[in-house]
Amino acid sequence: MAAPHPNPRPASDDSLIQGRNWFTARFEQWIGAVTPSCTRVVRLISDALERPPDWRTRLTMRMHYLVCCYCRRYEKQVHRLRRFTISLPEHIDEVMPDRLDEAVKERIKSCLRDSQE
Amino acid sequence: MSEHHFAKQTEPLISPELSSDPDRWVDEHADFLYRYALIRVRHREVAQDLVQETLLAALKNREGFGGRSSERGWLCGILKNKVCDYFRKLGRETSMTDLDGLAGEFSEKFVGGGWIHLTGPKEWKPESDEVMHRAEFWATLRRCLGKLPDRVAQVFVLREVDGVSSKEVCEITSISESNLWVMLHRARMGLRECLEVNWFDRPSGDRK
Repeated sequence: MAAPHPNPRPASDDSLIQGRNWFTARFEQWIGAVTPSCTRVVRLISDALERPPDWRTRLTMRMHYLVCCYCRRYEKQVHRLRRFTISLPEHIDEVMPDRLDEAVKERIKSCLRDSQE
Repeated sequence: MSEHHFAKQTEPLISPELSSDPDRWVDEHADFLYRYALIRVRHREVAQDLVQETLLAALKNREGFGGRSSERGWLCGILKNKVCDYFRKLGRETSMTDLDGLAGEFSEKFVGGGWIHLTGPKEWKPESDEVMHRAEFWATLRRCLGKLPDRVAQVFVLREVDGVSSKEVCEITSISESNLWVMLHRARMGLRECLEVNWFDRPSGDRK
């Protein structure tokens, strides 16, 4: 009996190119060889939010996504995360229960009064 | 502002239209300012001190508030500068050791430089942004932010929530651009993972 695959693809893997036959397996292998590793691609995805990458980098990222639905999802989700965080201040008061203690408020009030004298 | 004529009659130097009751500032805005500071600096005592410093500075510079913006917006602007001052001070006092501790944090998600397929990013449902109307979602995001290391969260909030440019974040926090990019990457990775585990990958009744 063959050993279990070291990194099996779950059924939810919807990468466009998967090594299901000889041809696609070679193609997948080739793309894997010419594009950066996933650990590198996730870093590139983050850096792209800071500075737009050059066309060569963009091209290798796109090619990588053909064989890796995980990096493709990661990019989409990190972009969504950015949209979420930009809107965070509008919602922060609803979800942040933190209040200043009354004692601290009194301290601040007396401090303000002192400074006026 | 007529209600303050009576409260501040003992202050002849300040014209009535400029006088705002500092007690009222505390009652009306202090909690808001406190939350604003707390999400950014993450330490209760520091946040309390910043609120106090902000109101003191506001009191000294009341002429600065010409009624152009809301009172809260004006105070918030002062606080924003105080928060940046705090980060500047912090940058000089602490070294960048947070990063070392983060280096291997997500290594269990990868094998040989590639995602472990079974634990890699899952498709987030729903694809639409209707989650943004859910208060529980924002509570989850806030909790996830709370799990990041202090420095990583601080630069992330400056950059992504306040929209400060990379260059300025580097200047305020005295870190190099390459360190900043690593920190932002770690923050994004951590938050993405946390949101998936605690929100998107849970049945809707079990989200928290």
